[in-house]
Amino acid sequence: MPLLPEGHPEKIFREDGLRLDGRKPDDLRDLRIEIGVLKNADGSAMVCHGKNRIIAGAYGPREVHPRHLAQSDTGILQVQYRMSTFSVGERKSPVPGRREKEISMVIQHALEPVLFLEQYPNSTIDIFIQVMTADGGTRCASITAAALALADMGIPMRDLVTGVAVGKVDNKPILDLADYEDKWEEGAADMPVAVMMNEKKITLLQLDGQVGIDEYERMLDLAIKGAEGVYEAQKEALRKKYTSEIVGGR
Amino acid sequence: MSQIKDFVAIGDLLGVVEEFIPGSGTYEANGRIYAMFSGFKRIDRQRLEVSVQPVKKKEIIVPQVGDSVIAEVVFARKQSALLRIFKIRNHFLFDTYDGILHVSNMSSNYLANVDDGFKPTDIVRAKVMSKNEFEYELTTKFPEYGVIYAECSNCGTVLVREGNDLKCNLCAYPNPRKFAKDYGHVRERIENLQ
Repeated sequence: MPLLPEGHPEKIFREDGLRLDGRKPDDLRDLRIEIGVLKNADGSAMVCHGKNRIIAGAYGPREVHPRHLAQSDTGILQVQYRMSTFSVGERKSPVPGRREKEISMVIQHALEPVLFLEQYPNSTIDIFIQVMTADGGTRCASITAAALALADMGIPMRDLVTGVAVGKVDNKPILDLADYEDKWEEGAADMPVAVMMNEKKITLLQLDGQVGIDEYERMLDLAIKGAEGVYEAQKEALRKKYTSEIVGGR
Repeated sequence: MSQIKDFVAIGDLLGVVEEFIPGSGTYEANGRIYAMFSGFKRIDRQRLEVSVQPVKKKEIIVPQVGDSVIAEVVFARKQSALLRIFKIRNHFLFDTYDGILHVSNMSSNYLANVDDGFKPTDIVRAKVMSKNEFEYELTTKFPEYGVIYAECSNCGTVLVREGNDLKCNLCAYPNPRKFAKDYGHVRERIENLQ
């Protein structure tokens, strides 16, 4: 991958119309997914999306602590999203801040619809997401990783959840923003989307910036198209992990 | 036989309801059948049923209707006893569930009071009859269900069986109980020794 200039580049598109890293406007970054990376977790996954490195571990269903959070008729999902101190250019304070708490909450809300939580009264499913390297779109990559950690745990799920970000720079909609595109300020907007791909149900949609209605619709179409690519990669990772065990055994 | 071509990931489309009956490991939404686990697709041609055999499945231990459970009597109300279920299908629970044993479901004989069958601290084998919003309704109406471990309510000595009654060898205090037919020869563990 070519080295990109630090900080704010002067232009966001090259002269041939491609982006600075050579992608077309509707291209995803490189995506590499590994499942079962943590030995002691019930389920785990690592997602390398562009320069993002995200590890998610899932535990449970298990006893709820503190106990007053337990609900007698349904289980609960608890998510912790944390950025490592070394994950960004300038050292990030390890104290969980407002941003991390909010992202934990939106990830929890994005994942809840795929689980059959009513099967686990008085229990919790815990997901811990650690961002090792951040390069834009960490909440979407975190959702992708967390969904696979849940899938690796072996609990029933309706579908996988796929996260992908769309945005607009210089008033052009682009898919899967990298960090420097995220920080571009002219004619910019940023829209993380999480989708359950089976029924095309959207479980997360945030929008930062100003877009018109037709622009918004174009961006959403782009997000669903991008999510299809991520979804295939997710399934391929599951297939690779579990079918390799069979081939090795026979 | 598990074959790679049969592998389905979570959320894969398996068919439509006109083709198959959704079996275990699958669910149906809008007339389409999807996989609920990652695993191998199985099609039963006789029953026209499609199911998924999971590659990895986490066992969830929640009382199901029909289960035989081990529970401790917490207290007796006027017409029912509250039982704390701590063992289901040979699994000790980290978190107990509450069960209600009504006096009419205690014995096949008539019991006037809860105290004629159960006292607090008794360990009981019971069957889950049904579940309401918060509690599981239990029954001990059959010979294999009932008290499997009891202490004298006067002196605390473990009761022994003599004919159709339980006796305290120390103080001869009357201890009426609805006990299981294998009382005194119970093999299964009632304490979590880990």
